[in-house]
Amino acid sequence: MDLAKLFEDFPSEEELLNIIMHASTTVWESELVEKDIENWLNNFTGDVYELKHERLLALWLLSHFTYYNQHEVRHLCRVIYSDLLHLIVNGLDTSKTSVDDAIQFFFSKSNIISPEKTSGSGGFIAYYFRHENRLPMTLFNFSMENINDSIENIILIDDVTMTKGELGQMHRFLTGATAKYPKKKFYLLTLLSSEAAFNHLKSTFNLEIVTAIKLDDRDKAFHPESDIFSSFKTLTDLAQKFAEHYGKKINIPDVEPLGFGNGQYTFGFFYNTPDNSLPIFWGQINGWTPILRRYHKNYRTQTYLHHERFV
Amino acid sequence: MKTLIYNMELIDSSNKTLDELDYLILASGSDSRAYEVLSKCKSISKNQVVFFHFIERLDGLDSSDPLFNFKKYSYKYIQEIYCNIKNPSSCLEEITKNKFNSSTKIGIDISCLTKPYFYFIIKLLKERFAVENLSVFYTEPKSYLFPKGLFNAFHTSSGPLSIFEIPGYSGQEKRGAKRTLVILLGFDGDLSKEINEDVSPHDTVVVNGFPSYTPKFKDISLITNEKLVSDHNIIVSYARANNPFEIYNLLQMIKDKATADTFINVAPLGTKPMALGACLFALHNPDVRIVYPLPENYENKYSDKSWNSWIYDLPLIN
Amino acid sequence: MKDLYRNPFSGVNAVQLDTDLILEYWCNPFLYDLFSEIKEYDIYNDTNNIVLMGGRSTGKSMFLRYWSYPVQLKISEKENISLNEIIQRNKGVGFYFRIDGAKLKSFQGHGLSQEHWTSVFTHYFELIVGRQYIEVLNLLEVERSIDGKIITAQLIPKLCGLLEFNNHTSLENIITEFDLRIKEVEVHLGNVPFYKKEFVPKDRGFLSQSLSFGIPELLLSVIPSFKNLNLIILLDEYENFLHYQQKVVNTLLRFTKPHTKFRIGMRLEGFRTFEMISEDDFIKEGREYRKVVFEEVVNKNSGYQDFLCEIAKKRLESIPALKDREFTNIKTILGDSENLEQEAIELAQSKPNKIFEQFSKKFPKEDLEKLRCPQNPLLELLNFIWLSRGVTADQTAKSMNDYLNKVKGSDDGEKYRRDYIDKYKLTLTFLLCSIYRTNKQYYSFNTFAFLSSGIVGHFIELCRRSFSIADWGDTDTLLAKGIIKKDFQNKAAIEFSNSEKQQIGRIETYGGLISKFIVNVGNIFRGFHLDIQMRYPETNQFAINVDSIQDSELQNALKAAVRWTIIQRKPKMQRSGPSESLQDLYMLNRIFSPSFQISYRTRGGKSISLNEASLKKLMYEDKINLGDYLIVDDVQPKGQNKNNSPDLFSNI
Repeated sequence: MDLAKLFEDFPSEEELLNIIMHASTTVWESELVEKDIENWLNNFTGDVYELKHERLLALWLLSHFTYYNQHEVRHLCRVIYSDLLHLIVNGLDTSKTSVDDAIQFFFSKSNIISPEKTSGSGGFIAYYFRHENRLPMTLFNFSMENINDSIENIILIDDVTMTKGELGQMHRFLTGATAKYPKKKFYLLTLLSSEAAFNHLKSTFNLEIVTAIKLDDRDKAFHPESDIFSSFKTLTDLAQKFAEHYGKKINIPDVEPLGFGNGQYTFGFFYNTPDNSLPIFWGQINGWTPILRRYHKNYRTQTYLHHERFV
Repeated sequence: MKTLIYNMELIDSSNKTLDELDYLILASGSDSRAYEVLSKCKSISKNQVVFFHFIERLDGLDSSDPLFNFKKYSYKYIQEIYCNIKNPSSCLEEITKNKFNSSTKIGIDISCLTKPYFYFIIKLLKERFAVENLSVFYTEPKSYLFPKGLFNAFHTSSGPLSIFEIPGYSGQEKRGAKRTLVILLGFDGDLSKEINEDVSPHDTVVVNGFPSYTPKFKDISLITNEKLVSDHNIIVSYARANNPFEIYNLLQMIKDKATADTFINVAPLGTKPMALGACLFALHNPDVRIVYPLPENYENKYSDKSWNSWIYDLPLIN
Repeated sequence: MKDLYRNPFSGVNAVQLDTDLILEYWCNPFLYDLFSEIKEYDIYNDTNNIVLMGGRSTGKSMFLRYWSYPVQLKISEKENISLNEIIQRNKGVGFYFRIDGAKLKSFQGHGLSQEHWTSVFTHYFELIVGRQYIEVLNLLEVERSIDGKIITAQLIPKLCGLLEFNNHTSLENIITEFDLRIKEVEVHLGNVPFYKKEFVPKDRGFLSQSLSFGIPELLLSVIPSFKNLNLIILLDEYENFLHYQQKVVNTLLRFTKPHTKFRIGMRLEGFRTFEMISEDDFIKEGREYRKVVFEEVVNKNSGYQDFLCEIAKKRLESIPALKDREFTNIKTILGDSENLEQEAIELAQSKPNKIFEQFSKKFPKEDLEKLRCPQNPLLELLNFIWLSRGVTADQTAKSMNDYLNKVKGSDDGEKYRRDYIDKYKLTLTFLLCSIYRTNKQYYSFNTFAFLSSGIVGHFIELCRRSFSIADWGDTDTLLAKGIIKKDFQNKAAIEFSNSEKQQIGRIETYGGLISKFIVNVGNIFRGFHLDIQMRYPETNQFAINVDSIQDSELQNALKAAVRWTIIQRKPKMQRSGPSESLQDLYMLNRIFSPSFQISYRTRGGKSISLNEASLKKLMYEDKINLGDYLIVDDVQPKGQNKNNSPDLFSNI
């Protein structure tokens, strides 16, 4: 395989760094500087291909990483709210009921809950959701155990719903929730969801899902339909092999080399990076330097001191 | 101001609107999206179809070009208007031969119409024919073509740029007004810079289409417009790339927050649904000016394949 | 610290600034002796019309706006005096107008005749000018600088009579009437695409001069304090006016009244026509107007660099993170000027013997050994070139040593010094870069000042990019030491240069031709820079007689290139031969120097002489034969090489 030929028309490191630099200043709020990238690139040691090609692949993937900054996350909270409003009133006969009345009525019978425990990202998003849409505190509930009988609509809010099937956290939650409240109507508001997860949850639980961004096969880095390699289709398999190798090297427990559930995604938020994204971006064990932080959900250990000298 | 419920749907086989139209207006083109909506029309023989053929697009094409695929359908009535892509009002005489009126059900597929053209046609339908509601169709591209995969090499046009007011959307500038320019960002960074310099507003608001057709597009528009966006005086706002009503709401909010002596200029450089929202806003607010860069040449192909097709119900009367 | 920092050079366009910021960023160019043809006094008092010409971002808009009454009003407030006092002090009042290109273009087409549009535009222009006159009166009335009785008893009735407005009782009402009539035109512009009907004003239409000169005459006759004042119309971006619109204004230039004058800002070659409405007459420089070129700072010894320092200082001081640390001197941040010796040492570091090895192919090694100078590769290269010119090794070595040891009275040393310091140092650097197959770096305040080519906006953009790259690449050094590394500056220069080169294609109508021309000419200049004999060092100008070009397309393309400051005309003229007609000298806008890897300075000496035939080739052909242009005196190129590029050592 003549790699040099495959990379013939490929952009140079400088061109890619230029794009990343502009992305950093316009989207990443200058969180990323050249030094960070160089430190990250030092992770790649030419295990799979020549070092220069590995660096190019890494930079290519990084230049296609989608980072959601705080302003954008806040905007997505407004988007899902306005989509929810549209869902409520769509088809309404306004000669009988005004839009305002219909919405007032809906929310008078609703509670918004994060499906995760307190301190999960769902709660974090709920906070922004309330702010951006100037919603009353009384609309929010802290627990599924606390739902009043008068409540007809349970609105769940989360940042990401990506995993299809019964392994998904949302599936597990909804199984319990819908069993507990079979007569209540469930809504799921999520900033991002995968098409597969969306379809699965909708058909399994008959709930209304509002998602601001629905990811499909085009968003999976190494899928044949991938947008990332649409200009360089011949490099897709090579890049996958590269990402897989280093993903294995990082060796994150319970996470596949290309992301949880073989996600292959390339996105993250200002507050965290989902584990469905490629681990080469966020892995931080076994000597790996991440380019983005991921804060894991710790369900296992109960360590409270972290080598502090003084307490 | 009365709150309206917007209607925006994906076109699928169950959608009946297409078949209930009296007229369908669209432009011919080599783009794969050109006849996507037309192909979904089951009873095309019932509709009266008005085709806009841009002379510049026809130049040098042979009969096997996808542009001529429209000929494979049969039409009860077809009007073919040959016109100059740079001059929307050149089609006035021909299009006014049709018997539109306020109760005519008209659909317009903007996928291959240029923005100045569909702006012109929509206002014409409202002003001259008192059309009150319009069904607007649009097919998203599956992807855009970036030379060498580099975002900042993207151009929809080549050659010199000339900034002009879209005919019919001159707005009204009051004495001592402060100009606010709202730029709906596209991928071609040259355009926003030129417009910002020509209009020279007091304030510039940049609207990024987000959520976009695909996640990365929201970064691409910022990267390619880096010079404008990195200006600390510029405010970045967001509105969904495929929802014209969100743009409308955003423009309404900008207008509500502005002082009475603000002259709002809008440059619809972003997606066509975003431009459609700006068009509707300008129809309802005639003091708003729409400015647009007219290039010497349009790039023939800058997108690839078709994706979702949408229908938007547009209420032309405020 | 980071939160207090933002790029000090981002986002300031003079036309967009409000009056406070105009004052904040204003640096008086007259204090820096930037213009020879105009003094500050002339702005309000020159009895001639003045046309200020310069490319985009040369500062014309800032300049014009400064003299307009809204900014002068701000000044008066700062000085705690009335607007009237400042007007009296200036002996004039300025009215700034800018009609954007989009609006100007809306006055055409839709099947209506040019005559009709001329009437509509004239009516519109008279209205917008007239309105501003009344606005100033209103301000003066509010501050009671004009006797109320004069206003009500004389001014308002006479204005209503002149304007044929219905009887109004206040200036504010008159202004409102103006607004209605202007709106009437704008409504028509909005509707005409759909109805294609001619504009018929509800009340009267205004002819040329009726208000633009009529109102000032009235004011001068009625208001005592206006008797000795000049009313100055500051008209910006004249190049955007369509052909017929310029005829309308040209006619006004011709018939200006003693106390009403124009100061027009436009791009070079911004006149689309010199015709007037009456087609058998023209306006002429020297008669209807005099010209001030903003870019002549390029060609003169002036305070331009000090001016840039001052502009930069204001920007830097507006950033707390920089002001607090006193990082407000752009010369310190960028470095005063290049250090060519240091550049050369860094270049040669990896392969110190490369020059030696190249020359050893042709010259005896023992001779070359005598001329080694590892501590200064530029001197070493100069020595080898002297050798190639026929100077003996011993002579060369002596000259160098006399220079280095500063031996007094040594003619050899003095000649060596002149060659090195005065003539060839920069050229040697270019050659050295070529030998080492690396690019010349462009950095330092001095370099940026040159690259800006007299265009302040270019200097600002170079700084903006440098700060942006420094923030990305090494924010610590930027904010802790107040220094931007030369690599970052160089990157900024290269990127901006390439970006400007790319933009050429966007120029209206002739973009393609100009683009090709610049690439070809740039490559020719590059060829000269690679001449190991340094016969014509730093050649970066060409000569051509524009008026003798018969082909209108070529001539117009060249003029467009000047208008868009792609090329800049030098005041000097030359003849290509004793019996030949005079040719103007032009140089590429220096911002392209990094892109072509050529010098940014202006040297005397050789310029390429072009004629219509060569111009045509340069504008139409993708690849030209460099050998046709690199012919130098007695040395002919030794046949073409395959790549059609100059062979560096072909003449050794």
